[in-house]
Amino acid sequence: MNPLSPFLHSIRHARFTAALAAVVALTVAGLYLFIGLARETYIEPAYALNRYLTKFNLVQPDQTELDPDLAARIRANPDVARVLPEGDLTIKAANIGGASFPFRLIGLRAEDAAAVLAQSGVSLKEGRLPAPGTNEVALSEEIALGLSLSIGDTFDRTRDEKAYSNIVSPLRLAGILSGEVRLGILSYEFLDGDEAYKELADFGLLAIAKPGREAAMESYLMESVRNSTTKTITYRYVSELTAGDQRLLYTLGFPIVLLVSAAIALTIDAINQLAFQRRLAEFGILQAVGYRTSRLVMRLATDTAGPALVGWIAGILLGWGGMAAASYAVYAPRGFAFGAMSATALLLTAAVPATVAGSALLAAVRTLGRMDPVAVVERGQLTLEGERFRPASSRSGLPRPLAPATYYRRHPRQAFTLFGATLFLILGTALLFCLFAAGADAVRPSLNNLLRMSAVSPNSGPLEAELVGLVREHPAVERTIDAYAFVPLKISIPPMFPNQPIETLCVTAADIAFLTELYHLSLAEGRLPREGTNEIVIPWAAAKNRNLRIGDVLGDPAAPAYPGAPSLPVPIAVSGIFAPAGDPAEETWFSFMSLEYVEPFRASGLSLIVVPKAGGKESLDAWLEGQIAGGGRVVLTYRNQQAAMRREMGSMLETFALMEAVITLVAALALAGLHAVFFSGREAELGVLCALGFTRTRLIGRVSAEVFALLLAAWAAATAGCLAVLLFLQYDVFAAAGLRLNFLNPVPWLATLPIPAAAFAACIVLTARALARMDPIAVIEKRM
Amino acid sequence: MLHGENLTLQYRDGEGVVEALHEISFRADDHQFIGILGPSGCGKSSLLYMLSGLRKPTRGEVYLDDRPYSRMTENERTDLRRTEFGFVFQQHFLIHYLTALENVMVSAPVQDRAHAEQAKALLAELGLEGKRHRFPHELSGGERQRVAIARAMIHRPRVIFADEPTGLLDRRTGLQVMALLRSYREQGGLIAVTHNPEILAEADLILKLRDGRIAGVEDRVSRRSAEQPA
Repeated sequence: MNPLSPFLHSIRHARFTAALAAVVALTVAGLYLFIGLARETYIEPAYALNRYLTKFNLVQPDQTELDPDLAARIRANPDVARVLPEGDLTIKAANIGGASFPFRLIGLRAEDAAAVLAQSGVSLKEGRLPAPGTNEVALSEEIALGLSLSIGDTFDRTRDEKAYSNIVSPLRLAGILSGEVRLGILSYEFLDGDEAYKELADFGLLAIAKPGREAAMESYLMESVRNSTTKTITYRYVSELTAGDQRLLYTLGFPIVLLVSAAIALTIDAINQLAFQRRLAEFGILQAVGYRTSRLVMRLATDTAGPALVGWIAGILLGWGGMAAASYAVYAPRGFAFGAMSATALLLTAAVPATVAGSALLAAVRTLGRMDPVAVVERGQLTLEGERFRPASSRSGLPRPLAPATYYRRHPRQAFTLFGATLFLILGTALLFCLFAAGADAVRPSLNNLLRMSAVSPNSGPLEAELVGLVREHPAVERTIDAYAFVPLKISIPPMFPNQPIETLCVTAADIAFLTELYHLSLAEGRLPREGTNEIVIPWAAAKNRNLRIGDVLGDPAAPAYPGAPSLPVPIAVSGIFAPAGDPAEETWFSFMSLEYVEPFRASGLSLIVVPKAGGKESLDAWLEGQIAGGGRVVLTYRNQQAAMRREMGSMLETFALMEAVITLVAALALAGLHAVFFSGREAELGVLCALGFTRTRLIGRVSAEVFALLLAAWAAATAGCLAVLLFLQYDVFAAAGLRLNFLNPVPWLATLPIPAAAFAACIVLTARALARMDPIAVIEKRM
Repeated sequence: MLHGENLTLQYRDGEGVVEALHEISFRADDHQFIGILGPSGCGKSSLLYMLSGLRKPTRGEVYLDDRPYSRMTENERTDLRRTEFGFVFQQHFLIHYLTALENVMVSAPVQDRAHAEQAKALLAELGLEGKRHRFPHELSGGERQRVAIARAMIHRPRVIFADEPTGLLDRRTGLQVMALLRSYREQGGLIAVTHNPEILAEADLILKLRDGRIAGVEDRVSRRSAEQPA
């Protein structure tokens, strides 16, 4: 038996070991859940919904029709087994946290469906496959579950504008599929035969590789077929698209892990300091009897590293449990069940025990390097010099022995540890909210487009003349405008919201002039689009964001205006750029084109823009929402779009809040533990003060004031840190991208509060409990 | 001023009950120096804790100006210790991270400039003028005890309780410390607990305890009066 083994120390000091392991375990569990759930919410569904692309690939033209020669070449490729015609429509599958992911409903001929299912390892579980030429759909059970659809249910745009924006007439769920990948299939004949769907669907080829040649076919498609006019939709292509989001997650997640790890390392360093003080005699004696300092350093470090490792394993197990519970209770009902094991979380949380072990080693070197065994044996202190305190700041000043400043000036290490741990923990969570709020604020101008008007859009075909007449005759209506809306460009909003569509309203020249006047828009450069031309006027934000200038051409696949710019049926030229609004609250993202020009290319019916009379917007919007919406029509008002945006943001906020709650709980426990460590060293001081006549309430007040002062300082520093990040975002990222940030948004500032508040409450409860049990006589008689 | 009636203290020790003090009664008047003498474990400190309100007797009552402690809340008794009493313990119990001056100021009723000046004067009076900015570990044992005495005097208490105040000091320093404590009699009373009769040479009344009971009372004031020639 080795009496100096860390194992024996852990067994004989079970409480200390358990406390250390518990702090690490809770931190690791919190971070594991944070990273694992973020990945399962925002990244994994994109892979899960596109995993069918490991079974077959799609090739589609970027504009009109696929080059017949290209189709023949694909068929002739030696790695390709079959090539089938396909058409697809995209719906969106929603996960928690406002995350939604596109999912293709693939239109197949009846004779091809069985082959595609067999290739995909999918079979019919219930119902039947779509009958040719009908509006029937078969969906994988996970997709049907997430969309709350059962056999016989119908769904279209009116049921959920966001999920089914492309489903302009009802589709009916006829069958449930089950198997290796998620699939949604419908009748190719139906897509091709329905006028509205033929416009909305993407048609192309579905290529199946010969057995074992899947990778070779994917490479062929990606490298030899993919070009500016042909899309090749493969798993690698989807992975490349998702990789950006994955990088974003790591970019956001890694600093959080580091900050929390640093805070926990500080906490454990303090616990170690206390433990070392209690083991001073042991180490002094060991050195006095001939143990080398390096051996003692290793011993002290391994005494911490062991419990940290145990804590890490326990934390991973706790995290697994949490993930399994979340998967079962929250994600599975949305069709996104997952395994509890997260390699990313496992890897990132390893930073916690590593940081703890590293800081323990440093602390051991620092402390044992100074230790004088004679001082330990003779006086029970680390060195013969004893403790060194900073003298009073001003010798002529008024002494304030019980002021928090005096305490922390004499205990700078404690102050630094508590301050640093709190600061890191607040920053670790609040920064996420800063980035989220910045992104959310940046998209507000799109909502402002509806500040002085509303819109009624058809699901398919034109709006009924009778309904248009009804709207025009409403007493609160000032003017109605026929408009065709489409999205020729998207703004990039770093770092949380990669893209935000800029909708262009195609209206007559007179209406462009009217709307420009209505919204007090002024041109920064160029001119408004002329009637019947391919000119477009774009908002200042879009010009800055995509570095567009007057004369630039959008939509030309051969010469994209910016990386990733979409191809359009006809190229359009930037003729004007609107100036930014003087008041950020009035900022809009208006873009106009000539309705006459786009008429021949129009893919759907005209919308009706409704401008209310002065003071009549509220009542008009209520009427539109109540009387006009539904029945194949979508009504967009400022109020309902604001509510939709709030719902989406609220859902994201809930996810972040859940993550912050986990970290806050860990933080409160860790900071309270840290406080308890420091407090335990003050029993004599507080006991004597109690004996001298300080009431327990007053002592609690004194300790509270000390904790409050330090947490306040850490909160102020963290808030300053958040402000610095927001300023950086505004002036270095957003301004260059034509975006504005709202510094008055309360979300990031409110996110800084839970950790100090929880830590304060936990510290005070702990102090009150300890002081209530304290017996001043025991302190005086040294029976503590 | 301060008197105890039938003070009895019992506590559990394992299965049985130990009687640390048995029906102790005595009275201390203003400006009196009372010594409580006895061997270790006879209950001297326990009696001091009861008189100062730190510990409640199992039976009996302590009165300050006829106000019984049992009718006071814990906070009132604590306030009493802060306003009416001062303490000097066997160990100095100075707060280790505060300077001598700051330690004295801990017991000042108000942390203002006037009391700071008073604390400085007190330290000067106790021979610590040049050491008021030193921390406890930078002072000798006697100096630390003098700082503790200054802390006990700064708020001008009516009684100073001293529990073995010279127990850890050498004889010469111990006598100096007692001289300082005795000097307080002009302002208030002094109740000192010790096992060393030498330091109670000038006490007005000595209460001798043995096994928790009064083994004898030595009223030196009456004796001195009787010995003085008419």
